[in-house]
Amino acid sequence: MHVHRFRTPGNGPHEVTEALHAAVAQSGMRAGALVATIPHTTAGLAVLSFPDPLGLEDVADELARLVPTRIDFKHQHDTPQDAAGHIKSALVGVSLSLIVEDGELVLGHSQAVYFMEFDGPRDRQLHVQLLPAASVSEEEKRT
Amino acid sequence: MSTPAPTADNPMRAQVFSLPELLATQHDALEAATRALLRTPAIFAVREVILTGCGDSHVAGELLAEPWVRLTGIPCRPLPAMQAARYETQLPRRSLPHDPLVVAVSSSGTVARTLEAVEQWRRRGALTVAVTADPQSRLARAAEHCLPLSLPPFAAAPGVRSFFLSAQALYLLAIRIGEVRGRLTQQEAERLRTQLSATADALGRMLPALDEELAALAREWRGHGRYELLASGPARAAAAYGRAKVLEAAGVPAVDQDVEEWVHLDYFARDPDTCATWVLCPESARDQSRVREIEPFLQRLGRPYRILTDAPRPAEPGRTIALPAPPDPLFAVLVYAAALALFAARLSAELGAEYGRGARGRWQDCRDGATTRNSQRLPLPAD
Repeated sequence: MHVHRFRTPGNGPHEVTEALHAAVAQSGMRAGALVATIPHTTAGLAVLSFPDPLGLEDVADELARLVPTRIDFKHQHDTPQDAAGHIKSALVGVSLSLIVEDGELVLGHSQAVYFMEFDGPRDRQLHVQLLPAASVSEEEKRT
Repeated sequence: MSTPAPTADNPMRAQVFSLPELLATQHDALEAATRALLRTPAIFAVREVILTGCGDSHVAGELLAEPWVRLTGIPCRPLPAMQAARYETQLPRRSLPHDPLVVAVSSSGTVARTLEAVEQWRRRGALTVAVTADPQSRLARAAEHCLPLSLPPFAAAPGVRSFFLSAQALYLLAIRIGEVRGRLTQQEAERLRTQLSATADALGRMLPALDEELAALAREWRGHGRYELLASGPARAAAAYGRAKVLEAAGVPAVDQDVEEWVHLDYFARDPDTCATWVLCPESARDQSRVREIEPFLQRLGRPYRILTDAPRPAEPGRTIALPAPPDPLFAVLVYAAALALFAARLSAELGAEYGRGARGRWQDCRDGATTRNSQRLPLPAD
């Protein structure tokens, strides 16, 4: 498993695509699946469109609109931002599966992978596991 | 970890040496208690904080006032309980729910004036918190919330364990409020909690290293009839605590004074060679240049003096007592206060002084704390 450690500067999307490319390259895997997950409950993983940075802000803004940081959450063990972060994390999800083909991560031309920080700035981790595809015989391909 | 001295030998010194273990063992429970003490809406409603108490408990408020502002971003004032109960309550102010937050400190929970302050402020709509080692005390019952201190039994001595535990509780409560209000990130808050714990460890290393040096100084200064403790900024409260310990433990008149004010006032006192003078100068202090300027004055006056500092000071090494650098400057005052408490314990033993004059003879009125507990409280205002 590859572990990518980083510190988020604050809330919002932080691109981690390069870390996934690096994990694929380092593994030498030609075909298979990449599973990325984060061991956090106040953050998420998402594939977003990167060419227009304002589009990223829209995503963050809409999540904040859906789940604003309030002081009347029942969960008061930590902070209001933390409580809102748990809900946003549940909505976005904490893992992604992507295809690897010809030694490359398969992503659309405008797709990038983002770590969505909902309770930053914090030290964070991204865990990556690579699952090689089983070899397939020519006969199996025909069927 | 330091080794406590036998309690029969010098109970106050033993209390000082017990601090690292006390603070380490109480940290987690206190942290959990601060987490559950106040609901988030109440924390967000606070616009001003008043830290109040009497004696050591008031000094604890003075010690924490600046850290509270830094950590919470909320204006905070330390007030003696008399001022809080009978004067501040008479001033015009906006009436807002949960405001101000009045944190009243009394280890016993029985001090009359502190109780009165809580009663008066609660009637006026303030959010009141008692910090006390007796959750069943009158103070705890008078306040809306109680942050309980756990003080395992120990040989009696002028407030050392109770003072430091109160300070630890106030630090942790400020960190908690700062964290909830978004002043601190969770990671920053956790780092500060860790540094507070590390400060207790630093005390554990410092005390044995300082013990003999302070004992020798107590012998050297045993004949001096008065003490002045000079500091400015947050360290002033550590000076006030040292003053209290010299008075209570050794019975020697002592005052604390701001470094600048000393030049204007106390500098002119007669018989300077009988006035033992402490100057507290943490590395983070903003009065270091002024301390450098007054040191020649102290020398020309012939004052016996020592500079207590964690900053490198190669000049006049014989007049400097070096303290370890605290893990975070925010907690430096604890290191200074502990050093002064240890000195007072050594001075008391050197003089053969009874703590609080033994509450006998002319001092018999204070037996069992009667002079602070038995006092008429103001009636509550009508609704």
